Amino acid sequence: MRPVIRDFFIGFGNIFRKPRTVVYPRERIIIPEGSRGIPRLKLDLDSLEIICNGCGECIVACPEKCIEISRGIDENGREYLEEFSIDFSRCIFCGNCAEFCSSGAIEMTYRHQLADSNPGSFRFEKLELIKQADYSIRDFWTK
Amino acid sequence: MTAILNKVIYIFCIMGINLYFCSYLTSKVSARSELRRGFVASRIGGLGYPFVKLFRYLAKDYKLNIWEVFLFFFSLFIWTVVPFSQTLTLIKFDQDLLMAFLFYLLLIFLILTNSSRSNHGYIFQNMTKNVLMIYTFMLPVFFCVTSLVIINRTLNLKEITGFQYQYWNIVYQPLGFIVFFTSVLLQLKLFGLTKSNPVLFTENQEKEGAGLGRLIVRVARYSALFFLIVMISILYLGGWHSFYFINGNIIFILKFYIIFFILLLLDKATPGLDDYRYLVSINWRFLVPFSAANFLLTIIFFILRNIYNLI
Repeated sequence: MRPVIRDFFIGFGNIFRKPRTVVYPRERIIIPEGSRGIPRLKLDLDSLEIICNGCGECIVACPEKCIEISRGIDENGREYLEEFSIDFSRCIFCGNCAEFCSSGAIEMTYRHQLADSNPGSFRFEKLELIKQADYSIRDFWTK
Repeated sequence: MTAILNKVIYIFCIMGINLYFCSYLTSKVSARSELRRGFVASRIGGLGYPFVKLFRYLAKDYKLNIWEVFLFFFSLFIWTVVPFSQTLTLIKFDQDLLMAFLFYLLLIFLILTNSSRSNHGYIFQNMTKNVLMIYTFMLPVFFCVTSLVIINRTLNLKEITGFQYQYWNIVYQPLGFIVFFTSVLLQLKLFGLTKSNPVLFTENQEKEGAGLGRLIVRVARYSALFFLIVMISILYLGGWHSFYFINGNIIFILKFYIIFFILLLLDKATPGLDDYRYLVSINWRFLVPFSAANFLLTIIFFILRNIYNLI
């Protein structure tokens, strides 16, 4: 009997509380802190160059094998990151790539909506992954 | 003749308004108590949504069954006996309490008959069980009402309401009220108004886009629920007695909606009735013994007071 009375008053109180559901797209919620959206490539703020050196640790850590990297050699004989792409039609947003990256070059953003009619558009190249910096703050809806 | 026609129009209007508000409240209260929004697809808090649902039912091509026609007329016919207010009755009986409950039993029978059919004919294999199941909930109600009749010494609903001018019957029969209310709550669950109920109603009835037939069935279920709420209000809570300067009819409407609101919240607070054994255990272990004990106490009190003049 006690749970019924307790649930009755909880239900009554809930009527005066703000509903948890939102009417999308008219209303949008701020995504909870720590949520994992799509990963982005971080830039070095001083030199504005990509931090990633293409070591390939993220490829090993990725359970879905959706990351592809190719390294090039410049005129001075140094290795640099030539191509970096992630196939988001396969990505499960586990965050292993950001977790295992020793140079901290990958970060998870809060962007989670990728609906598109073209399957090819889910493959994000290096420049598109850098652009995701806008989505690294939680209330990007207000932008 | 004009007076009768006026009353019929009044009854239709009251039924329509109640159906609108109650179907709106059923969705909105059950959604908001779960921190959902309820009707929001249309504007102004979904106030127009019951109409949208009505037109959606009407727009579907549907062949009416003879049982559904019976059900529709009977769900309105029950209000010729049960008064919404002091003067709003079409047929006047001295024993209208008896008639009202007989009509209610018949209405339930029609609802279940209609729900037991299929597109390929009639399937009566579960009907007897279903009818008996819901009629067992009338056993404690019968005990409670008999106790009230013994106290009030009348079978007339207006006289029962008149008897409560000083104290409501809930003061004399608190246990009876609890049992009656619980029985009504269980019947609300059985009707499947808030959540589809697989115990009583077949999948055929709940199929999406069933058209006018489904609308009639819902009207009949609401009508049965309104009847029970009106009965609680009249039998235990003083009916349409005015409160200081507030009109009795307004008090009656307030009581109706407060009971409906509490029933909805209690329906959310209690688990769903998907198991026949669960129903049986509540009815036979709690409702029937308590109502029988209440009935016996009332009889003992009645005998001691009126035959031996001891109290």
